Amino acid sequence: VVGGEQTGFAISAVASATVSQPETPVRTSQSPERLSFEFVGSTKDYFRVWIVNLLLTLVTFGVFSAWAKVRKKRFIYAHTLLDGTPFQYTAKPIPILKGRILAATLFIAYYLTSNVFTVALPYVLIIGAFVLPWIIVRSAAFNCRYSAFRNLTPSFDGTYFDALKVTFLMPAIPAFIAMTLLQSHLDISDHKDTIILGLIALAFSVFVPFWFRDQKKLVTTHTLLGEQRGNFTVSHRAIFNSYAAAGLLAFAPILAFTVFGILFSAMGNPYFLIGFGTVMAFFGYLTGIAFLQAKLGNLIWMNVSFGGLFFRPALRARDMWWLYLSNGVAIIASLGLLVPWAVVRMLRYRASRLNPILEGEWTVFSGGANATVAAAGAEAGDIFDLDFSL
Amino acid sequence: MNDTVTADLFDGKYPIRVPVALRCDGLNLVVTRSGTENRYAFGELRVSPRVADSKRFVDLPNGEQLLCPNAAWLDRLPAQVASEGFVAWLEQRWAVALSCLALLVILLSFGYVHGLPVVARAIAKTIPLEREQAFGTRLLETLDRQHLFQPTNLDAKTTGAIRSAFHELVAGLPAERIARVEIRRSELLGANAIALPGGTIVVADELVDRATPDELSAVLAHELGHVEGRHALRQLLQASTVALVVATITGDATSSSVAISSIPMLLDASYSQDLENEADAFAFELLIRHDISPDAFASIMEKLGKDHDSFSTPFDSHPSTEERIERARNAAKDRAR
Repeated sequence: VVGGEQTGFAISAVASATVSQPETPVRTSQSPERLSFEFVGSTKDYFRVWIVNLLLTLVTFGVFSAWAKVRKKRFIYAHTLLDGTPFQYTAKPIPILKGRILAATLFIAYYLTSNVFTVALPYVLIIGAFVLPWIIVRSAAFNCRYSAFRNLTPSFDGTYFDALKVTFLMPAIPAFIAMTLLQSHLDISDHKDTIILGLIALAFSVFVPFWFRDQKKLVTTHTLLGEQRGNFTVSHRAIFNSYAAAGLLAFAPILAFTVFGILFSAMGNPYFLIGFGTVMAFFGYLTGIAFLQAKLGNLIWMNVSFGGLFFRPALRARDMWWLYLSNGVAIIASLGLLVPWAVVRMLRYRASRLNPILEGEWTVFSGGANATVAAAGAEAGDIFDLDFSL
Repeated sequence: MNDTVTADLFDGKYPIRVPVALRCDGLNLVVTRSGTENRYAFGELRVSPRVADSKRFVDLPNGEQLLCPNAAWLDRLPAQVASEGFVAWLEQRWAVALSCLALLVILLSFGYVHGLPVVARAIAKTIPLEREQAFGTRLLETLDRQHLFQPTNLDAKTTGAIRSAFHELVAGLPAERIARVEIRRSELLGANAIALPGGTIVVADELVDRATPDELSAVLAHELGHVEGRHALRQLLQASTVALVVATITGDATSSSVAISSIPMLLDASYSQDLENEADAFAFELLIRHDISPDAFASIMEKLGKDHDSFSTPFDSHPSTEERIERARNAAKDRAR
C-alpha cells in the first residue's frame, strides 16, 4: 500500500527501458545492453570479516577502526559485480585514521561549545559552514580516487568554490545555524520569538531537499568515468515532492492518533495512549523513511548517466519498509549479532534493483588522469553522517 | 600451480575484459594473450589482499592488471598492502570468528556490568565538582531564559525554611563548599526536584506545596545523594561510552535498519536505576543522621506516585516506586530497632 505510486513509477521506468530495446536483441554496437549488477557476498563470509574487525576495533579503543573500514569496504567492493567484474577498493588506513582524528576533534569542539562554552558556538558554526564545502569536495574526490573498476579509476574535478556556492545558494546551512543560535536564546513565553523560529525552521525544511539535490548534482557532474562526465537531470521540484510526500506519510499515523486520542481520552488509560502513540509515531517514521529512500534512490539513479551508461532503478517502498523493520528488529533481538546479515541483505536488494544499461561500447570510458587525494575530507564526512555517495 | 588457469586482463586504458591464460613457471608468471607469451618474475608483481574467496587483483609492472581466481600461489607474490595479510588470515577462520564472538560477549557483558561503572566512578573522583559548575550554570541559565523555569511564587518565609533545611542537611558533607539550592516554578518539573551538574539542586514550587518539611528534607537528601555520588558526571561518562560502543557495533547497519538508535537508551536505563538506588540509600543514611525517619521518603513517594498509576519495566530511568517505598520503610524499621 505504501509504495503504490512508487511501484507504478518503477514499472513504467522498466517498461520504458524495455520498449527502447529491439524485440530480438541483435547485438549491434548501438543496441542498449542491460548489464548484470549484483552483490554476491555471503552472510557467513561477511560475519567473519565483521566480527574479527569489530573485536580488534574495540580492544584498540577505536584506533583499528580505520583498518576495519578498509577491510569491510574491500569485502563489499570485491563482491559487487558489474558485468561480471568486481569493483576494487584501494584506500589505505592511515589517511582514514588521520581523517577520523580530525573529525573527532571537530565533533568535540561542536559538543563543548553547544553545551559549555556557548559564547564560542557562533564562531564554531560559522567556521563549520566554511569547512563543510571542503568536506563535500574531499569526500567525493576520495571516494573516486580509491575506487576502481577494470583497472580504471573515476576522477573528480569539483573545487572548493563549487561546493561553497552549493552550500550558500540554497541556504539550508545558514538556516540551520540561525536555528541553533536562536534556540538557546528562545523565550517560549514571547510569541514573536516562537514565530520567528518557526519560520526559520520552515525555511530550513524547504531548503534541505533543494540543498540535497544541489549536492548530488555537484558530485555527479564533477565525476568523470574516463572522459565521460556525469549528467544529472533531477529537478528541484521532483526532489521537493518526494520529501513532502514522505513527510505527509510519516505524520499521517500521528494525525490519526491525535484524532483517536481526543475521541477516546475520556475512557483511555494514559499509559495505553502514550504507548499507542509511540507505536504510531514509530510506524509513521518507518513508512516515511522507507518511502523516501526508495523514491529518492529511483529518482536520482533514473536521472544520472555517464555517456551511454544509464540506470533504470526499481526500488520499492514496501520492500524497503520490510527490510528496515525486519533488520531493526533482528539487530535489537540479537544484541547486534545480526548486523552483518542486515548489511548483506540490504546490499543484495539495492544491487538487484539498480539495473544499469549500457548503450554503445565500453571503449568510450577510456582512462582518465590519476591524482592522489587526501583522505581527511572523506572521513570527516563519515563521522558527521553525511553520506555523499550516490 | 602447474596447470593453466584463465584470468581477465585489464589494460588500464579501456574497461574491456581481455581473456588470458596464466601458468606458473618456477618463480615466474607466464601470461598468454592471444598466442603471445609474457613472463613476469613474482617479484615485479603486486597482489591485492585476500578478501574471503573473491577474485584477486594482480598489478603488472606495465600498469596492466590481472583479475585471478583466488589460489594459493597468489600468496607467494609480494602484497600491495603488507599489513592486511594477518587480518585476512584471521577473517578466513571460523575458529577465530567464534573465539572473537566469545571474547566480545565476555568483554562487553563484564564491561557493562562491572567495568564501566567502576571506571566512571574512579574518573569522577579525580575531577573536582567545581569543574562541572560551568555545565550546570549554563543549563540553569538556558532553562531560566527559555522560561521553562520561572521565579518562585513562594513567600520569603517558606523559601527561607527550605534553604535552612538544605544547609542543615549539607553541613559536614564534602559538597558543602559548593552545593546550593534554587527554587523555581516549573510545569516541566512538576512536583519534583532535580540535581544539576556542579551541585545545584532545583526544587519546584509544586513539590514544596505538597510536601511536609520532613518529606522535603527526604527529597533534598536524595538529590544530595546525586551530588555527592557525582551522578551527573558518571551518567555522562557511562552514557557516552555506551553510545560509542553501540555505534561501533551497529554502525554498519544504520542505513539498512530502523530503531537501532534506541539501543543505548535501553542500556542506559539500568545504570540510571542503579544511581537512583544509590541516591536513595545515601538519603536514608543522611536522614537518619539528622534524626528524620526514612518513612518521610516513603510517604512523599506514595503521595507523588498516585499522580501516575505506575507499571514499571527494566527500561525505565527510575526503579519502581513500590520497591523504593519498601526500601525506605525497611530503612526506617532498622533505625527503630
